[in-house]
Amino acid sequence: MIWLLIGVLVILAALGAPLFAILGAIALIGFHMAGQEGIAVAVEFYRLSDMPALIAIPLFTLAGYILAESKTPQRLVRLTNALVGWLPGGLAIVAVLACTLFTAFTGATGVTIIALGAVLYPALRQAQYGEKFSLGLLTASGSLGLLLVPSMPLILYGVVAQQFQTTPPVSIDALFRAGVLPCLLMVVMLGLYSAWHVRDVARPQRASAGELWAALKDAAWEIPLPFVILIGIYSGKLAASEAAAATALYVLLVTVLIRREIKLSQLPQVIRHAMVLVGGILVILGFSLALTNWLIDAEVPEKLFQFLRTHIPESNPFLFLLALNIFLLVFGMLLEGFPAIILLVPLVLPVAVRYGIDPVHLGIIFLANLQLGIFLPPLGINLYIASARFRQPVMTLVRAAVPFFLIMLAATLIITYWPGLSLWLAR
Amino acid sequence: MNSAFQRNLALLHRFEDWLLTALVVFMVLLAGAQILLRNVFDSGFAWAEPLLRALVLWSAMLGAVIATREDQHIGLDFIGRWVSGVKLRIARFIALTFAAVLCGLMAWHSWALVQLDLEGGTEGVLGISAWMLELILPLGFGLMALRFLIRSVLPPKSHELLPEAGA
Amino acid sequence: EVLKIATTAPDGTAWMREMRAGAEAVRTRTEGRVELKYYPGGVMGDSNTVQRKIKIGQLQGGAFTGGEISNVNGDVQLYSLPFLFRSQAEVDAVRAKLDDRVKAGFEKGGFVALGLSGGGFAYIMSTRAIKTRDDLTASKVWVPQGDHIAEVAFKNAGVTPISLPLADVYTSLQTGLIDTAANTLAGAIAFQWHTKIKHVVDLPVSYVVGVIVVDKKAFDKVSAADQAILKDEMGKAFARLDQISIEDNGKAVEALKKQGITIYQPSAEETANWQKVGVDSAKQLEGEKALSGDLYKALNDEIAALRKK
Ligand code: NA
Ligand code: NA
Repeated sequence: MIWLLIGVLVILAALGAPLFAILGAIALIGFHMAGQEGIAVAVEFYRLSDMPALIAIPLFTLAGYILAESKTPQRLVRLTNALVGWLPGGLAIVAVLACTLFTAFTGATGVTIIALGAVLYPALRQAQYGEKFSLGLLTASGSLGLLLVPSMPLILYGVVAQQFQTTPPVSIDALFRAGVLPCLLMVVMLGLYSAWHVRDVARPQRASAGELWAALKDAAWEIPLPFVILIGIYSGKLAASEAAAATALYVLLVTVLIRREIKLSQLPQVIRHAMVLVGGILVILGFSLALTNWLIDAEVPEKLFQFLRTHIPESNPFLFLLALNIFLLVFGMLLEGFPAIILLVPLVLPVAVRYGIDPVHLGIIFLANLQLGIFLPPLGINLYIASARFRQPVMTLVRAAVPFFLIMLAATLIITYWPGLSLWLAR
Repeated sequence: MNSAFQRNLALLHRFEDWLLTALVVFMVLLAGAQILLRNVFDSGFAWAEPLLRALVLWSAMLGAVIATREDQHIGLDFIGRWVSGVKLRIARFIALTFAAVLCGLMAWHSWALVQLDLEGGTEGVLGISAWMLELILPLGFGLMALRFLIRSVLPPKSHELLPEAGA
Repeated sequence: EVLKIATTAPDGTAWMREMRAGAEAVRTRTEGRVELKYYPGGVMGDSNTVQRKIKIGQLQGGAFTGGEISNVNGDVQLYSLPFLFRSQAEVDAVRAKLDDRVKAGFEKGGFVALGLSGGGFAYIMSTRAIKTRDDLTASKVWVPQGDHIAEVAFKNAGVTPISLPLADVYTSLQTGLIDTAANTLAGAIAFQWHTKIKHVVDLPVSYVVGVIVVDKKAFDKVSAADQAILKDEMGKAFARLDQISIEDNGKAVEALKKQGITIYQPSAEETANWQKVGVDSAKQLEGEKALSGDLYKALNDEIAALRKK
């Protein structure tokens, strides 16, 4: 019976049924089999309005769409070209850095693809980088930055982990310090690959001082934006949701009222485009909340983990870490960052400590793997977000992301099996 | 479809677009005002936070409703590359009728949620009860169910590329 | 019968430990007929969501703070009136007389209270130095979502508080969305706020209670004998928590001092200035009929009698 249902849902998904409807159906069937009323799914879905951090998604998306419809991407291309365009893979490196910082701020990887993809994709294409390379780079870079201060998933891991009173203790500060080098490793590896990959793309000559000044002046309204967000969040003056609001308001005022690159009459259309995407993502999130709740109630992750545990002797942490990598990858793909952390940390942490793994190191392993799972085919959510954002079939994104996935997998393995990289700054 | 029906449908589309614009602009202004009040004047509205969260839900549901009429929901989309013509229309009919049924069920269940909070008298924000804030769920899912039914018998809309995505 | 109970209390805290011990005792004494299954750490959502899930039968109960469940029984916040008590001895004497009436108040809301416990006194704590009421009005103060009494109290102190779910307080302290909150000292450590705050005002603001309630419909499915066991064992667990909370709060003071957190002692004059907030708030709450009139009167009579001695 269950296999029949799964088969039907797989066929429906293949026929082009929306992902949210598939998740909704699984949730309704799951709750029904657990003897619950369908209203329970509606109650879970309504928890979308219980999440204060969620507002960052529509606000950053709107800001991204407005910037995308204005001449900002062109100005950014001009400026970055003038600054580092002469480096091998210069713009790709800029893209990796920008995506890393953005995700660290928002804690949301999909938002990065949405908001920065709009700016970076045309810029990369304009700089003659291949379509597949550009799509893959942006899809992968979306999740880069989860390891970097002040990433919210990192904080969340700390809060959950601290309940276990481990020795050595897990402090948020230690996590922040621990994440720096692993994040840097990923950035450097992606940057090197990019520089190598685009070695044949014609490199423009170093820009003249006059051009650099002109490009700076041209982008005068955009340049303060990252600094306001950066200083706002690092100084503790702005929460992520506030930074999102400040960004949206600033971009709206500059583009519509000061520069007038988008006419007031065009605004409803831009808003509609942005919110169609946000709506599409949030209905999926709503049903994934319901699904997660059902998983918790049916103790599915726990049973899965128990199964895993009986096959690995306590004396073999290497094997445990390998299993953990696979486990986290799959669950990261299925569950997304926040639910995955809330759900899995309480299960994994006590066992990992018994295998002799430092809980701070475990946090970095956790997020590095989730970072990969978020764009792991076939269900990694960022593949779908990038697909919607760039209006490309999911299969195209999957293929484009493969080389980047392999590089980040290599980085994740280094991070997993080399505790010193995480712990050097932390302890 | 007769023309009066189409006129009304077009009117509904325009109403959705404008309501969405109004909600989103209000959301940006309120969130922006809140930051200014909080960081510059050490004050703020206690109701802003819960109201903003309700605005997110409402504008997301409206966005999802509009996504339905524009064939823009996120899903596996390789079917269109494998088959075409009548076969694609049949696949669409099955997939979107399924989505319509799911949305219909969700409209029904979320209406039960509205009634639950209507009876329970759960508080919302600014004197707006929780059940009123929840109304967008049965409304949104109901509209989506109707839209999916309509879309299931119509040919797929070609997604015109956004200027920034096609550059 | 399995009773599914949700709570925002994090796993690993004394609350969860004692609730689990209570559940174990119930299971043993009822020979497995009654089991309690817990969902700690807020995995089932905020209190409104948990209450919805109880109504639809997905859950059978919850362990709430007084503020979280005050919409069902306003009297649960009777002891939480700002600046009401002056000492733990006063609390103990009053609770001995009135606990049963507070618990009985849940019946009309369709719930049965199995246990009621005091978490101790809440203190104002902040990332900035707060010495006077004026300092407080210049801060970004958190108030628990739906906690009417706390909201009234802060408004009377001249603050527009920011309402957030409990689960978001830590990150909001981190990002600066809020800089000030009130909680018991042990609570501040359980939720890790002590890693963010720098100052505590040494003035008991409000007495915090926690209560475990189950849906009356689910409770009635249990046999009378097992109901008695359930009430007895969970009542005992919550009574143990009363004592544990006192000890934990005592230890918390030392832990906070060790962390270098300033514990500020207000002068008698400032204390009186703070306490005026209590008088104003009580007046307002009385006018609003937020508490049952006769119970409020009984409370005042008890306290007056105590202080006459
Ligand atoms: Na963040
Ligand atoms: Na990123």
